[in-house]
Amino acid sequence: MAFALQVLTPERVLVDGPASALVLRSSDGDMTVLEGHTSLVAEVVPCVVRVDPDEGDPIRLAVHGGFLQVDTRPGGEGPSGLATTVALVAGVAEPVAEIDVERARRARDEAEAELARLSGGQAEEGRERSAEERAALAALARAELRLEAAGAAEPAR
Amino acid sequence: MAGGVVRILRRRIRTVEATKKITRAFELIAASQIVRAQNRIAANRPYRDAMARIVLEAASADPGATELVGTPESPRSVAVALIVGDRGLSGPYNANVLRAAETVLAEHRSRGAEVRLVTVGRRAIAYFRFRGRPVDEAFSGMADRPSFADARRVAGALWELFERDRVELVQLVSTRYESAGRQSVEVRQLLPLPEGAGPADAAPDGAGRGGYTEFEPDVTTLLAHLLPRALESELFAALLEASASEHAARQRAMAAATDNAEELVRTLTRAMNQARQDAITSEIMEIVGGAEALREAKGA
Repeated sequence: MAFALQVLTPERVLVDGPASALVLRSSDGDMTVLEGHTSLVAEVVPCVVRVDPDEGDPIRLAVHGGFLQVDTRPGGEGPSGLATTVALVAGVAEPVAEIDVERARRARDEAEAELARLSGGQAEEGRERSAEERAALAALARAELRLEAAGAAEPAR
Repeated sequence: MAGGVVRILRRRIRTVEATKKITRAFELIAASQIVRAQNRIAANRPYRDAMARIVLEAASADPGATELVGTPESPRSVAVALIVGDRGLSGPYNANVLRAAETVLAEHRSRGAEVRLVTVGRRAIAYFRFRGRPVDEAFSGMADRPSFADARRVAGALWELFERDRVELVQLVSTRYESAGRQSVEVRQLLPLPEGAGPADAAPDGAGRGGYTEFEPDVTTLLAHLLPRALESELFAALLEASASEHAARQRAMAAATDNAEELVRTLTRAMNQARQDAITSEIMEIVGGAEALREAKGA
């Protein structure tokens, strides 16, 4: 019931081993990858990814966009008779345990302040966004994703 | 008078000893950096391979990808990127890359192609400025320990040349790290995707499979989003390999310099001892000669 999963970033391998499920959000919507999933290449939008390893507790990761490759071919040992290999590559991704919540909060506040400064109270509609503004928006999105991932990791305080 | 020679030699030996200490220190630093750089290459390899596989799969499935795959026959505009170090003291490392780049550039120019140049490393800036050649974009401060953000910046510049300025071919000249003892300069095609990495190459891999793959979003859109990321991945890998190669080259150069210094100290010490012995001998000769002369004068 397991498939080979790798979650990879340029600097290190985050997950490498058998997993029973991978939950993430692609450009088409939320999806779950299980053994025997159709071969697929998909764009992964920034989201909180959940990995259910074959053994052990689920791992949650903040993935700031990437790509997914599912490769299923005949010849597996499991009951489905299919061998599934899954690779998730992301330029930036981190396990929830490594997220610095305080830092993410600060980053979010700074990005918000920066955006407010840049827009200068102008109407948002129909205006070309400057490079600084896009950078601030990206920073804001990253910080919010980190907070979302970390917040979910601290259940019912 | 002879004592002067000894003094000069002693001073030179001291200088060489001091230089030796420095080159030895550089050698040790480089050796430790090699290990670190090698580990980074190893940690990056799965990402790089997976990215390459994904690009391959998408490119071979997209019928409209002709513009993005293959080598243009005789491109009218070319972008050449090269990676060298920020510092010297690394033997022929920088010169090898610059020489290979020079060959590539000359070839494109002789065909009358417009050439855009993107460089990484301070050494390249000095080189091209001295020759009065314009550089489109020059990056520095990332050769020693490149970060993924560095790779992004360089890839961004190259992608802009390809996407906005419609450069037909993007090439990279850099050093490939094959092993601790072996590094070689390599000229590689980055964009469009080289033909060799196309469907033909994928066949043995995809052969055992049903052959049907879904794409989300559609493959053309996916490929458009994928290519800039793949370029970043390739550049990061190239930067990591270049940095490991530079440290290896520096270690070799500094080890050779240390050996040289040792050899020089030996030669100089021998020369100094000889000079000192000569001085002593001639002094004795003078004394003996003087005594002899006195004795002869008394006896007369």
